[in-house]
Amino acid sequence: MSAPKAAIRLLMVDDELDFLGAVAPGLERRGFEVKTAENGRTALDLLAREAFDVVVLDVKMPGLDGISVFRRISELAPQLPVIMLTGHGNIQDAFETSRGGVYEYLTKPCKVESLAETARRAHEERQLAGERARRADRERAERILAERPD
Amino acid sequence: MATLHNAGPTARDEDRTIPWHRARPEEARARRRLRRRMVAGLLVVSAVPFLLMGAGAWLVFRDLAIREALTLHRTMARAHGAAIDAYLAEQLRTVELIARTHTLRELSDPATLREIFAEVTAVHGNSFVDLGVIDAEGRHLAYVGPYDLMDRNYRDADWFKEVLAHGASISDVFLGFRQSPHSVVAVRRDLATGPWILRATLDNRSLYQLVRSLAVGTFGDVFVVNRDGVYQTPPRSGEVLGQSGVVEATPRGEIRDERVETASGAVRQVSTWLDGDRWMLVVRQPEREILTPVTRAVGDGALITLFAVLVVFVATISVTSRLIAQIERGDRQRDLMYYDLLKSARLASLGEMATGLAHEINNPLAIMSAEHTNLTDRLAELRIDGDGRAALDRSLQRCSHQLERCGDITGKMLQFGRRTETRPSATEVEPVLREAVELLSRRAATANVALSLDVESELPPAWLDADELEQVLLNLLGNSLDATPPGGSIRVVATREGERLLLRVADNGCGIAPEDLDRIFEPFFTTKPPGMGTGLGLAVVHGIVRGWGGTIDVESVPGEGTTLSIHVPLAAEVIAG
Repeated sequence: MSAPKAAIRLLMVDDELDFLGAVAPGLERRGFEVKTAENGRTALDLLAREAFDVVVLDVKMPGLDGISVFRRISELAPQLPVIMLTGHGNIQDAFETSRGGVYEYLTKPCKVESLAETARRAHEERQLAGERARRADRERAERILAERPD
Repeated sequence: MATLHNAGPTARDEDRTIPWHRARPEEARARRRLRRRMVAGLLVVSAVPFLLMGAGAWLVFRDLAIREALTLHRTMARAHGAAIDAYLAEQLRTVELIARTHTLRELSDPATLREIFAEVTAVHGNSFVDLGVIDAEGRHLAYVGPYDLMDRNYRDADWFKEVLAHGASISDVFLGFRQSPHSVVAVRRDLATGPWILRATLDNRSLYQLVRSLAVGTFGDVFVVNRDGVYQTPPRSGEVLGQSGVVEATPRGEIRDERVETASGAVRQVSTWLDGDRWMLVVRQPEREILTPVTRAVGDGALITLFAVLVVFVATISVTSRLIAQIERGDRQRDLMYYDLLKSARLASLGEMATGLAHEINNPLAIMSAEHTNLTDRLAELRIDGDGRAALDRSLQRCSHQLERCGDITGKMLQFGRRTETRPSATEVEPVLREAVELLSRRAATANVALSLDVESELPPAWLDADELEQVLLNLLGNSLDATPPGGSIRVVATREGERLLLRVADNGCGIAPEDLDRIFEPFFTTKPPGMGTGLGLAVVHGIVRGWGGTIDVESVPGEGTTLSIHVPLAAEVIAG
């Protein structure tokens, strides 16, 4: 397992502690820096304090469920990619309202491998988009500077 | 043929059987009872008015006929009484005229009397039988006639006494010396020397004819009786001078009618006294004859009524049959709907259960899968070589394989419960069908089963998901291949049926037992040997088709084959809303 350039910061939210405990080491070995939260409230607190590259959300959780957490995230940090994970398969309800913003839906049981791959892809696409945006900003700034009469 | 439906009723409802129908003979009995009651009720309701009308008509017309007959009889009695009176009066006047226009001496001369009798006979025909002149002692002074009566003395005869007393007399009919019924007309003339009497014997045949000519109808009777009820003219049956049995109840000067019971049945009788109140005219007609027209009319009416009742009967039977059939159809429709509802409710609850179960199992599976990854990762870091390493790798591989298998099962359970994402869209089905058939063509060839695809040309797009359709077809074809022996065939047909696409997979394989037909869409129901099938294939197909808004039906005859029919909405219909 070759060390990546920089660890991808991933927040894993699931009410099942065993699941968090089982998935986190696998992801860490695949170049992720994993933080876990066992409910939506803790997840939002963590998100407020720390920066993350990807969030993996369990859809069904007691209290604040995955869909509500996702809605808050899209308000606070619209650029942050979110992967939804469900053991139920019934994402019909969430589908109607928030399919657009979710990066990917994965159904449990999914392999750690495919979860890692999806998370990495999400992060890279996000980075590319960010770079494109930054480049566009820079070009715009340069154009403005160039056009400015001295 | 047993059929299973999982959605609303279709055109083939007539062919469908419902398992519990065979076991409900009490319903058939109840319907038979209902039919009997309806027929009886309708018949009573329709026939009773006819019968009442018939009875009413009989009573009314009977009364009317009798009244009419009596009116006729009264009129006749009055008129004919007068005619008979006039006839008798004329005979009396004839005798009186002779007595007044001749002297006793002239009449006592036999030659003169014979001349007069000849004149009278010339004028009156055969009304007079003889003519005699009698002195106050009852002795004949002269006599002309067919009999030798010169020596007869009439001193004790009733008519003689009456004529002496009253001056004129018409006698009752009596046998007299001649032993034949006759009557006597006599008048008295008074001289200073004493009274003398002119007497004539009447030939009663004239009177009989007169009276008989008055008879009414074919069986009517008219006769004259004296005060003692003795026939003065011959009745229809009986003899002159016989006892008629008519009693003297009629008030003088009136016409009396009554109903009389005779040996040959009831008769209507009208009676009136003739002039002089000595004779009574009786007009009789059997009640049966009076009522003949009424009987005939009512009989005709009864025939018509019978016909009408027959028509009503036939109509009643027909209407009842139609009603019962309609009730049966309604009951059947209701039962079918209930049956379908029950079935879909059962499948729905099974779907709920399967979904819940899958969810509960998916979480532990996810953990196991993650731990499997951890184990694999750690094992790679450990320095273990040789047989132990290989054994551990094999174990982990087996674990991985079984985890995938479990994931596959829970995935199918979720699909059956329609809890997976389904995104139907306007889809051309032909390429999908071709691909699926192509995928299985090798297997079919190996099994020596003819696999054919027949797609209607210019089939419009259907509302479904292409991947799911392929999954459905692979499932159905897989089942058919398992069920069809070498040499058999499987046909896939796609046609348009109204506003829906009909997709049919038909094989001539072993078929499905009727008791299994109801359950084939249930998850984990399988007739395959253990380990050969999960029993989820048709459950998944069911879940997918329902997810498209379609229906799936199965028809199967054991030993002959199975046909699965899927109806899916056409895309144009869904989009048009």
